[in-house]
Amino acid sequence: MKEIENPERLIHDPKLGKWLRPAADRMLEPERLSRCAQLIQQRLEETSQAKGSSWFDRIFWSRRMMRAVVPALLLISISVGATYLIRVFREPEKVKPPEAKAVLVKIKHKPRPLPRLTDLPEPPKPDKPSKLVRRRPKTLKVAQVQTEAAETVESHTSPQSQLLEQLRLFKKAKSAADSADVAGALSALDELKRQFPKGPLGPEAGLLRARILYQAGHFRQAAQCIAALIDDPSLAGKKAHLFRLLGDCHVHLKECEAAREAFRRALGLGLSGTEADEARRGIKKCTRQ
Amino acid sequence: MSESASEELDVGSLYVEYGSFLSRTIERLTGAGGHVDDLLQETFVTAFRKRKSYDRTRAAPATWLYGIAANLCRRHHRSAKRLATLKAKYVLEQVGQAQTRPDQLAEEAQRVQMVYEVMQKLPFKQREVFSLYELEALDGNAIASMLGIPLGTVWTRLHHARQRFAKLMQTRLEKEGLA
Repeated sequence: MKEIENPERLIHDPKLGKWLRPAADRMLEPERLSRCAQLIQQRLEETSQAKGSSWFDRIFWSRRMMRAVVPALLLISISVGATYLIRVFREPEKVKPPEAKAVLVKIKHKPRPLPRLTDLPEPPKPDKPSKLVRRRPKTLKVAQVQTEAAETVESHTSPQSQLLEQLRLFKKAKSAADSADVAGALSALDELKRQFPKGPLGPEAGLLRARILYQAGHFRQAAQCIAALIDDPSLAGKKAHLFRLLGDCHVHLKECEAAREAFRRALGLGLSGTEADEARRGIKKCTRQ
Repeated sequence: MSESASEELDVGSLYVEYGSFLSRTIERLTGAGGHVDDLLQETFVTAFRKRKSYDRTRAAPATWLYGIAANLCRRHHRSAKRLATLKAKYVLEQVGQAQTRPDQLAEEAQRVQMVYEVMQKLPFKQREVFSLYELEALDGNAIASMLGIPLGTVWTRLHHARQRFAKLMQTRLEKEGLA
């Protein structure tokens, strides 16, 4: 910007100068200025005394302190209020007053008893039945299912009756075997196997069959039957007895090597008592042959 | 502001150096009257209170004091414009009557009163530039630094203030029959 020199003052103007010069020359009287100085001094002393009687007052009432504290308090209160309002408007169900929380705790610890069925209000009855109900009423379907189930129960024996039947057939075969009725015993066992091929008495029935066949002199069939039963886990406790019986079968069949092997395995499985003696005798007999 | 600078600022010395200048300025900005004493006192009391916020590197003491006084004058002018005018008239007459040379000083007091009354019709920003340049005889750069405005603004305000003052003064003199 171009530097402009100070223009000539109006006080040098012949027309306005005579009016401006007394105003420019006017000064406050020295007495007035000194009186002002005294008053200023007095006020400054009053201000100093009133302002700082203690360090706490000086700090607390200082303008800088107030300028720092008041906006900080305002900001904190505004932020807290805004946060609360946001939470209330966004999640009204989560934010609840303390009274509501206390009630909830009470309910949580002391559950309300369930209402009785008689106290419950009756469900509203529809004016028109639905299409599903018109096509096939629910009560009719339930009745049909119940009828079919009853028929099934009637046609099939219950598990208890099945077990009794198995026991009956097993006892019949055993009693027939005791009375030397080999045919009756085998027919009863056949009936048992036919009716209950996977019944719980299957292994015991097989063992009984092997004994009956052995007693009847059908050693080959008895040996085959025992060979089928040896690996049955339900007869693990009788495995030594089965091997001794198998050895006897092989002895009668003149199969000394197989008989000796069966007796050894029977003794190896812990055969004891008279059966062990018979097994040892069978081994000796086979060795002689 | 540094602590040492605040300790160096002595209000008493400032009053001795700038008290007369500020009293004249306050009177020119607000008119003559008892309120000039009050505003002068208030200026220095405020300076004492704000002495720790004064930065010597940013402004000269005269500039700083003038800023305080101008703010007080502006506030006074806003709050009691008409009352201040009436009081100025009354006190000025009293001051004129108290002089030792009443015949000469009465005429000067009348002229001063007329100038002050005309100046009160100027806007405050124009009035302070007019007062500092025409009556206090400060140059443009000093006024610009004191008011914190560019030099061009000083000349602009002075130009408008002069035009307006001359017009108002002419009207007043014609009205008084002194033209």
